[in-house]
Amino acid sequence: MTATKYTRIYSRTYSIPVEVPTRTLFNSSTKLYLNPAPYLRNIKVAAIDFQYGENSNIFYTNSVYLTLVDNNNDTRLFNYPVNDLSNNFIAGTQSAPYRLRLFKFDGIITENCYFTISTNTPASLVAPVIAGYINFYEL
Amino acid sequence: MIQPIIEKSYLVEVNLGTPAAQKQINFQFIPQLEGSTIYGIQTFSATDVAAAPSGSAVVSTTGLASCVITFCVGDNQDIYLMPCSDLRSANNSGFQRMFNNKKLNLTKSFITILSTTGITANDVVLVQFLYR
Repeated sequence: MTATKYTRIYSRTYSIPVEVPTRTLFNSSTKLYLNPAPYLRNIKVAAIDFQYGENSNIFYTNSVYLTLVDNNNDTRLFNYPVNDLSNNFIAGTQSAPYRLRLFKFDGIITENCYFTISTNTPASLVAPVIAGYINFYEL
Repeated sequence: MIQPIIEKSYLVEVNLGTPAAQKQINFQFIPQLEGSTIYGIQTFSATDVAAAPSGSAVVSTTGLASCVITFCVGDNQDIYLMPCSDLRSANNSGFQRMFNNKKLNLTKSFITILSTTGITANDVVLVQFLYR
């Protein structure tokens, strides 16, 4: 089934913090890998969203993309804009009603998944920050 | 409205080059999409993401509105001159446009610039395909 029009009830959510280490330069080749989360390898992920961190706007002010690999090492999402996964903004007006992006994964290898930060202006960090949280919803 | 369940997605960058009215820019060959069944298509403007994964500047919302897209299935132009703005989720209350399981001939598909308003040289149109 490739579509649904019904509200779905999720049994569990898994929230993984996205840590950005100290770095002097970000550009289109910078990849930030997710931390390992073995418990997600056999979880049927039905929805994903991204929540921007409260104390860092590095993901919000730059163009960030997610590449996600499933437990068969198949690249399922290639350069998916994180902004499209997010429904909250640190500042500004939210123009779309709340919606959760729906997916169909039988398991995810998080340590093979990464964010790509694309920015025209190189940025630097002097201390590690939590850029946000990526939330996985299980049916 | 029906929401697609995303099985796979692939973001394609289409560089508009030097903008000119009636210019057509074809899609490049994407091996991952060859022979795949596409059921959702989405575009983004600079308001959504300012820079493409390659680092190129993304076309503005005004520039996106100056473009239309034609998708071919085989030799048939099944989706003909569809406004790129109509595929932008933010213009559709956050929803992604769904299509009827198309096996697209991407290299025959193209974007047409209707006017150069809002388009800067080498702006990129981002087109995301939902497929399986």
